[in-house]
Amino acid sequence: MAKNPAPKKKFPVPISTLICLAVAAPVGWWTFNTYRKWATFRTIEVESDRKLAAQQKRNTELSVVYDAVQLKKFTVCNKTPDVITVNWVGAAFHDGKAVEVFNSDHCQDFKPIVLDPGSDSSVLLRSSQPGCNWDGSVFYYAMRYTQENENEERYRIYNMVGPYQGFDRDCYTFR
Amino acid sequence: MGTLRLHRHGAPPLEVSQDRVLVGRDPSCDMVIDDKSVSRRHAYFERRGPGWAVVDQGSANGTFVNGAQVMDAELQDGQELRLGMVPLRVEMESPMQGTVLMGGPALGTVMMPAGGMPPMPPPASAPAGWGAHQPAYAAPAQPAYAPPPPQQYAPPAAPYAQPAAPAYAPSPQEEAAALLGVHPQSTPEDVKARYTEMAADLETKLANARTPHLKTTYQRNLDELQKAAEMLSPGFTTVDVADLPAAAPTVVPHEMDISLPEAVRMMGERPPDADQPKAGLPPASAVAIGFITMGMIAMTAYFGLSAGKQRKALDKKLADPAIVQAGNDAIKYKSIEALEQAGALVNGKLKLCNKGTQPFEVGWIGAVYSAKSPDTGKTVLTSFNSGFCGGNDLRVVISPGGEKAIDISGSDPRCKWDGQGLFYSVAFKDPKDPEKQLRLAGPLHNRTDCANFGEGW
Repeated sequence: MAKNPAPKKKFPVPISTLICLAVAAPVGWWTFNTYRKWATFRTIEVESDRKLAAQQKRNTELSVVYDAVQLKKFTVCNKTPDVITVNWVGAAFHDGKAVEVFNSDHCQDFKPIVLDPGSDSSVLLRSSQPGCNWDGSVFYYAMRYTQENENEERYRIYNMVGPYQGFDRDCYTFR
Repeated sequence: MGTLRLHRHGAPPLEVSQDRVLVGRDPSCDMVIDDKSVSRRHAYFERRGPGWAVVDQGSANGTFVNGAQVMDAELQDGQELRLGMVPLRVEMESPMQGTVLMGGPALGTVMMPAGGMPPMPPPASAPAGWGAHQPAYAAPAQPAYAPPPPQQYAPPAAPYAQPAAPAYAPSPQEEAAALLGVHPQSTPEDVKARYTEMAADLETKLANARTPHLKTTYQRNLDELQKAAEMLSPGFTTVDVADLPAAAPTVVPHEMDISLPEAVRMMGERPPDADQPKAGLPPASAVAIGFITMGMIAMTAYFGLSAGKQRKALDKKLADPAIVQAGNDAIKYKSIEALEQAGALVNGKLKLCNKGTQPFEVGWIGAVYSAKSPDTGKTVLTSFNSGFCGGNDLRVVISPGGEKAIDISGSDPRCKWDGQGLFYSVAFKDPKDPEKQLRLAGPLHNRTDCANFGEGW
């Protein structure tokens, strides 16, 4: 009786399938990495647009404040033919965090500033008195001054207030 | 030798007289049935002993006998055979054309030639025995012959009458020996050796079978093999042998040297090349993975090209003046972020509180406040100066301990202020010296508390 040899057991996965799998695995990894790179760039691009829009909006808000609180040195210029005497000065300034106020009425060392016609002067006070050592930085000002005219019997009194940078940028000019 | 006739409705009968006739749609077949439901090589008819059998050749639409699908079936006269959708009626003609059927007293119907043909002698004996190579379904014995008693004469049989039953049937032991391919008197060792060999082969095929049908077939073969071994060598296995298979041939592929028709053997297993793809074609799994890989390569190409473009666009965008400007502005505005967060441009209400012991009259008020520009809609800073007010527009006297929220509405358009501001300055008339003024100044942004004065004045 003829005997067949025991049938050879076949490997369940064909060799061509194994080769395809061997190729597919690194290709899959490559694809995944390329996708990740693509997704990263895409995220950065979208995020950068969003951040730019937010930053521009924030900058717009801050620019108004920035302009408003820009500190300048308080200077007065007398362009009148009269003698101007600054009797009182009030000023708002800041250190970047908080607003502070200078009030010359509270400072014994403050002397009225007399401006002859055509002269100018910085407005500041060097004093050891607390709250009175002021370098003239200002963004809001208030002052009282008098103008004496030789032809008039009485001098005129003026009270002025306003944002400092909003008027004659470099010098508060009496005209 | 008898002839097989296949009657087809509306067509002349097909007559089969050769020992083996291949039927199918292909013109090369011995018998051509031109019908789409018939496979090219559908089945063949094979002479088996005195009868005929039909063996399906793996046809697409199957072969049916009396409605039941068959792979290999012996045909009987009058059966309804169907190849695909083509119905055929089976007629088996005796070699002695024109026989009449007569009832026999002991053996049932016997055949007798018509026209007084002398009866055939009965067979001398039963088959000589079951050799090692004797097929399990060896030709049935010739029907026993008996002279026809005149009183039991029967009219001529119908053309499709059942053929006479064989008079001899092999014993279960003989069948079992045939199944195993051993002699009925073989020693238990021979039976065991043969069983082990065949069972191992079947188990391998069972393990590798890819369809439920094949598994069922192999399992059935294995069970029957086990029963046969138990029959020949009791105690060999624990199988209940009460239902040993009948004389019907059992499909045991290849190893059984019992002359099983090829088609019967093939019924239990896949064609040799069924598991293998056609030459030159990779397996479906490889093709699928190949397609997936190509898809991945295409996606990689897309992502790679797109990422390159994105990177260039990103580099270009990062160098955009708008972005550079925004960055520079952000650095510049960093210094006043704290002020902005403290509400540097949020107006606060001016409320004056007299902490002194005597009443004070306001002589002048100035303020800076933020407002939306009616022209541009942007926030702008503007100032209020009560110097524009008429003599009665600003009449504010605050008694000791009193407080006053400032709200000025004079007749002059420049003399209107609701007291909301960022910075204020107030000059009070000195009660002692009308020419002298007492001045106050301070921030108002976000302020809700009092601006106190008078204490110590």
